[in-house]
Amino acid sequence: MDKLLRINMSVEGGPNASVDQMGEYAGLAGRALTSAVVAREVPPLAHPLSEDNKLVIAPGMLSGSLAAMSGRMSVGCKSPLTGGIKEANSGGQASQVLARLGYAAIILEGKPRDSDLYRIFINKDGVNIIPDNSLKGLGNYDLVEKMKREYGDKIACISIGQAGEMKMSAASVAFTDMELRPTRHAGRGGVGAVMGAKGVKVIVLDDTGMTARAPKDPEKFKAANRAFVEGLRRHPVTGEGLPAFGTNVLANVINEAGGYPTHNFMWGRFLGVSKISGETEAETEVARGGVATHGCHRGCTIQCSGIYMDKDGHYLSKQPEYETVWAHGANCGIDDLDAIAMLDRLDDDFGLDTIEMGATIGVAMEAGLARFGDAEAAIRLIREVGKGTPLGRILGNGAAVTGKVFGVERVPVVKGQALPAYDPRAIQGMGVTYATSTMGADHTAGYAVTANVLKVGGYVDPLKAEGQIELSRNLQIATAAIDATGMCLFIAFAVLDQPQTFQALLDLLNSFYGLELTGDDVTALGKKILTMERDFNKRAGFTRQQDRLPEFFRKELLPPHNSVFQVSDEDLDRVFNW
Amino acid sequence: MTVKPGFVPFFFPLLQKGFVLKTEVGCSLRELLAERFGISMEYIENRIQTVFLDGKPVDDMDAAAVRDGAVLALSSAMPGLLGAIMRKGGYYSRLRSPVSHLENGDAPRQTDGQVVVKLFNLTSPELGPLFLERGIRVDAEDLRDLFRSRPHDLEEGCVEAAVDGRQVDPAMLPSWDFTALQVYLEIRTV
Repeated sequence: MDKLLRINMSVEGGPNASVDQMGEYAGLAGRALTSAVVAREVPPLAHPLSEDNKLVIAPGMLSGSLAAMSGRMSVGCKSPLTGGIKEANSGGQASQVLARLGYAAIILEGKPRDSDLYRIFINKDGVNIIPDNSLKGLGNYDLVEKMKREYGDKIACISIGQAGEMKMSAASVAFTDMELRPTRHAGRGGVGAVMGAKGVKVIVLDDTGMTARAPKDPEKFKAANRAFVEGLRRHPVTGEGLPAFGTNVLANVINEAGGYPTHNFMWGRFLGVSKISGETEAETEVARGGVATHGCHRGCTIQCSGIYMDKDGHYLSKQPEYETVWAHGANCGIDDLDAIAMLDRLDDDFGLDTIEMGATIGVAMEAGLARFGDAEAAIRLIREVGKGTPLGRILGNGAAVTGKVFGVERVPVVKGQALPAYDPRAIQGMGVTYATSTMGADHTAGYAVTANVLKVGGYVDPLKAEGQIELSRNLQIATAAIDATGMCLFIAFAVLDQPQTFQALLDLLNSFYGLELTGDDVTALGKKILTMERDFNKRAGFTRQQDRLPEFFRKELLPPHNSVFQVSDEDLDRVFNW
Repeated sequence: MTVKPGFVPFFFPLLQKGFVLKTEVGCSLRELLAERFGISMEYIENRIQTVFLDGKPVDDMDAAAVRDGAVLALSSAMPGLLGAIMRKGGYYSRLRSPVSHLENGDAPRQTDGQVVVKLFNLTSPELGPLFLERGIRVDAEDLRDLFRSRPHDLEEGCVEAAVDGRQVDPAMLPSWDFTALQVYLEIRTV
């Protein structure tokens, strides 16, 4: 993993691939690499769909090795949704495969001179870029089936559906899972639209003939991996809760706390929560012959995913995760798990971000396009997006655009990106991260709960009034660093509670690369990433005014606790003071 | 109802929605769990990671007082930053300060009363059988919906059923017309 694969789509006579050395990017991977390339090589004022934007697809530091949980892939560009820098990441098989092929990143550059659509095949022998207009208009599922017929089932695919082809701002990039289904998505920020603008429908990876990346110190690496896996298995979240119920296990708890946004962030509790909770979802999956404990890539030991069957026992979708169930469920007043799984399937097929689309349908419902709770109407609206009707084009460009077109005041977005499944009026600290993240409203930006181990930015007394700002800052730093490693963010729970598991993570990195990293180095990496991203956004025209929540979160009381977002603007402006 | 041991999880969906228990109230949350419900201190300390009292996350189980009509929800360790935020006495509890439970009223009088209990995630299979065996009050409509959701499993898993002291065919339960709004449900295993 010591080279960059640059594919220039603008070249006269057809796209051209070239292999570049890492140069100044040496040592970077995952989000650190995608953000470094975008910050250095993309003009901040470029139109996101123009030839000047670049789409960077980068595995993590340990991807392609035998390290557990190391299969996350980062996708970076200037976002068509936010207008700022973007890193969206995903599970699936592609990260491991691309890393084994030796590439630290694929960088799609330029823009085709014609309207052809391309597929790219990469294996140990090189890169083949083929115009293939027969792929036009295919959903991700049919597309992957077609690639499977052509290349066999030992491949991994990176693709876009119809939404990406239509360059919609809610379009995702899909990654195939272990069953070769396009169920894992770099969802946020419209990264699929940028891939569509590059004219690339699918990248097929085949690592046949390649072996796992070898560590510098195999014995230490093996021992560290064993300790790391033991730590994950020992912890009640990564060893029990997530495998049993998946991420949607949070639904009941957040609902009880009054922070489960319902009916487009009108209330903090959803009456139908028990019908769509993780507990009910897991029970339904098992009863129908599906799977409630499943990994999204080889080497996953947490297994927070699953397989959802319809009433007749046929595959419908992967287990819809917490954010998806909330977005298409409570946020739209829908308490029908089968309808939510169908919406998840359609999002995956069309290549759409489930959070953005759930929030968008919620805004559309508030505008009167459908009644809250009407699952059939929600499915119809998503189908409009897939077909690319005029209404679908509006919806497919996200909640902010939809709110503007239909005159809705209550639009839950920051920097144009929809808020995820936690109401910031009930959980104020999450509101700080939503407001100030470089990515727009993003729950994962401050997800890694490692701050008290890393002591990033100094230890914070949780009882101090100003604790929320410092905690959000520390969490964003820690998250940026973990995103660079390519490790699943869910490892953070075990790392938080078990210092020896955090040490095992450092040992994995050190034994693999022959380094002597400490917690301070990890902190420095996180700060470096955020600094690059903030600088890009500043050059793209962002000011402190973009680091704010929508006004209604300060004005409207959220039942049942009747709270509003109380963190001052002055405090929000302190988040990145380090 | 008398059911096969493997059939007890059939009833867990009722537990996440909430059931009513008659008990002595006016005590601390810890006393309620340990002394009234008989849950071990080890389980309360280590396994129950998040507790809600009337929808508010509790940090101090000794200070939190349980009043008549209280709603109590129990959860094991939860994922994500939000899981950490909701954890009792956790490092990140500051991030939810506006909704945290604060005990600032007068100490309540000890008296007979009732509480609503919700069991989430791992607490459901771990504590659920205990409560089901002792008997819980559930919403009649919820119970009917549960019976109707998997009638064939019900016939297979239920060995014996009695309504108001009279033996009934388990196959009849999905269409049973419960006259009251709440049903007292006891589950025994063979």
